[in-house]
Amino acid sequence: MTEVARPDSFYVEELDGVFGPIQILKYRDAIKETSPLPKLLICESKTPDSTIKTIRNPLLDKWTNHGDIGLLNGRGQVRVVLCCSANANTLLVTERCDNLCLFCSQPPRDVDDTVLFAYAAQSIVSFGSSDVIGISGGEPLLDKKAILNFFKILNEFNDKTPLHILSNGRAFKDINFTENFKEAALKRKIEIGIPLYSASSRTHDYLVNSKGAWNDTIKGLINAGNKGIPIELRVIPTKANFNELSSIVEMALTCFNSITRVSIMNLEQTGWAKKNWKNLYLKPEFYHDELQKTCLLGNRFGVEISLFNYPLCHIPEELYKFAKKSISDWKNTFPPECEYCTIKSDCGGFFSSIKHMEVTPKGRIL
Amino acid sequence: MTNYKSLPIKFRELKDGRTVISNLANTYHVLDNIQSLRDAFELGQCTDKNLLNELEQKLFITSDADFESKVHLTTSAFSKRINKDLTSPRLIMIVPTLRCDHHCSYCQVSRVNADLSGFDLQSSQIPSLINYITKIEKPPYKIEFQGGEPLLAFDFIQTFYEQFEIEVGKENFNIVIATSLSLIDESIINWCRGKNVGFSTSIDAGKKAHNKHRKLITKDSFELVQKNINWIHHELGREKIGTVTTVTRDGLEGYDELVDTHLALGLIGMFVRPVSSYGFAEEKQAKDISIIDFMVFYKKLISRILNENLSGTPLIEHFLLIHYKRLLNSPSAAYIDLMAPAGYLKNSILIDYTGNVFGSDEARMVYRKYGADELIIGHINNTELNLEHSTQLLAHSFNFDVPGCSDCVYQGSCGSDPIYHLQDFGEPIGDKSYSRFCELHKSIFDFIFELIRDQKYKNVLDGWLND
Repeated sequence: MTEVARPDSFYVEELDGVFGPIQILKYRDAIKETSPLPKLLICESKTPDSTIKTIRNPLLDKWTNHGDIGLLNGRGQVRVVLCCSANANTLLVTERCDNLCLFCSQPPRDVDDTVLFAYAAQSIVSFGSSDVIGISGGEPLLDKKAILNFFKILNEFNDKTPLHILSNGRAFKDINFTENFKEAALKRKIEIGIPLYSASSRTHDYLVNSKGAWNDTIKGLINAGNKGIPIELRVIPTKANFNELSSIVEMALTCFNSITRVSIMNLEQTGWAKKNWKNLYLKPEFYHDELQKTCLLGNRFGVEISLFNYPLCHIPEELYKFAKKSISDWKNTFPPECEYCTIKSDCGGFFSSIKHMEVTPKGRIL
Repeated sequence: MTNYKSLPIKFRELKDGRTVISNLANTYHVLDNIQSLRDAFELGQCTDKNLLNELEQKLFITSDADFESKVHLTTSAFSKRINKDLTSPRLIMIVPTLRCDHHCSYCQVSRVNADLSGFDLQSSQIPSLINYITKIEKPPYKIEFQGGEPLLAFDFIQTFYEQFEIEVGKENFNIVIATSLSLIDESIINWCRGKNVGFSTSIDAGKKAHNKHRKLITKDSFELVQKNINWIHHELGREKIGTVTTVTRDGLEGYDELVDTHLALGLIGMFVRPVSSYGFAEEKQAKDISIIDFMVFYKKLISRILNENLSGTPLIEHFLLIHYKRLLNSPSAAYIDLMAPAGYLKNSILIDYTGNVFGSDEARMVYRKYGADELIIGHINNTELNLEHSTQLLAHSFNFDVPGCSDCVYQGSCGSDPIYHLQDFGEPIGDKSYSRFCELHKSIFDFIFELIRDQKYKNVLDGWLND
């Protein structure tokens, strides 16, 4: 694995045996010290303090900021989950899911992990960000009580952090839940990222490896959209659905309300996508025309359409303006060949997990 | 998928034998011929895999397993579309005077001479007018001054602007003055500088047609309007002036001249439609030009315009673009004539020189000619509303269940004009097989399917969507 833009995991001997989220401080801070999480003070002199655990750790110090949130695994490992200087922050609220997507980057586990919701709520309140925080899983809306309770806690703290929730949308087929969710969630800015992989159940249910998923997601998208919950529609092109990419987006923008934007996401070679890579991954060059057709729908429907996780040298030049630098810094990398590429600074690069990075650096004519 | 169910469709055979199909979601597909329609939908024996996939993706057919969801998707699209037409903003038109310096043969508002009195909205009425506007509509306000010739009442417009700006704030309104521009002068231009005021004017198809129908004593309306468009263009900016073209029998050969005129003036947009049968135009000018005549002209015009675009000269014809957007379910296609329920009353309102309030420009035209009191929905001096008749008109403009529309392939893209049908048929629905409205819009939709068969023309139209 090549070097990532921002390392996020550190071993800290002194934290061995401690679990759960902590807030990292660089100096005593009366306001932050009232927030719900335990504090960890990182400073030069290791003066013993009665109220706050204090350590000296130059590496952790280098890669964290005052107020960042770390998650401790009990074995001395701290993972910085909310970081002021990160390009994106995401919290995992459950590992359980009712879909088993063939390309899942975070394969689900059926464990009782409701404590993660509590961690997440405390972390968000303590972090106090005005930038969007991503909520991811598993399926964050699988346990309807837990997600509603999560919002209830945030609202009790009068927290206004904008949230982006990645969901398969199936929970919204329940109109009463959709109503309750809206009530609880819309006290802040939110957006739900919901993937739709096909215009029919055949392909969608195959890709998410769950019968009935498409029907649920369709009803969910209708309900959520009708209730005015802002939706980012996501599509991942694979060998199974690349030829209907524009049809999926066209159908969605014709039928659903409240679609705020559409994101076409290139596969990430992590989790189950690794073992299914050969069956799923298709080089973008084989579906350039579909990408083009899809991006053009933005003008027609007045909705922003973006390409995520596409290195610029994998798409035609006309589509550069749709490509977003989307890969989170802790898993983002550029292979050495990119060094001399003239458009590197505009490019989103690669996932560090990818095995064979195919690169065609754009050169200057010398 | 070889085993499939059909969802409800509507269809129409084009002149070239191809068959357009559509559904309640307002998605469209063009089949090669009527036989392929029969194969796919009547006999259920279509074996063309690509076609079946496409029909499935566009909600025309479905597998058993997806049937319920496909019905939900269809109805969701249907409601989304109606909602869009219900929630578009409302245009507020004000007629400060019915007097006009032109005496156009086809004048739809039945204007009066410039020296007559009793045909002006008094400046003293402005506070009530503003009060009325802010009561019935939310900002941002879209206001259009109509006539007569509004520049004959420019003092009124100035006073209105100043008081309205104080009342609602400069960022909350935009004004367009619909004028022949013959009376524009330096003081008007100077006053408009830096204000939210633009102009909409008329250029007809060629000098001959223009000067014949848009009559000035000096007989130079065509020359004058070009000079003044140039003036506004240079002094106030290109975005401050738009044109409308009314096509009469005398303009049928003027398509090239019309394009040349626009290009010479540096204009990048035009809006071209046949003369409509209101006011003075009802008996003669509208009867003189059939929709078939108009379409012959229009096809030549559009062909020229598209080829200009292909050779790098940008020029958009907005009448066509609006129809194209309606076929594509674009959200920005709120054109009062192409809405169902109609734009009448809910998306337009007109305040006449008498202070009477109407549901549309056409409604005051019909009122002026036939004096149908039930078309007056109120007056700016009181809050009473008389909506009984108007809501009836609106109800009958919902083309979903109207005879002649309900089974039309273009129903989801088209609209209805209850006032036109009221005038021509004595009731708001009319007989669509004799309706000029129906014939015109259907012809334009047919024409678009002819055009976009050629990918290079489709690319031009798609490029216009950027605008």
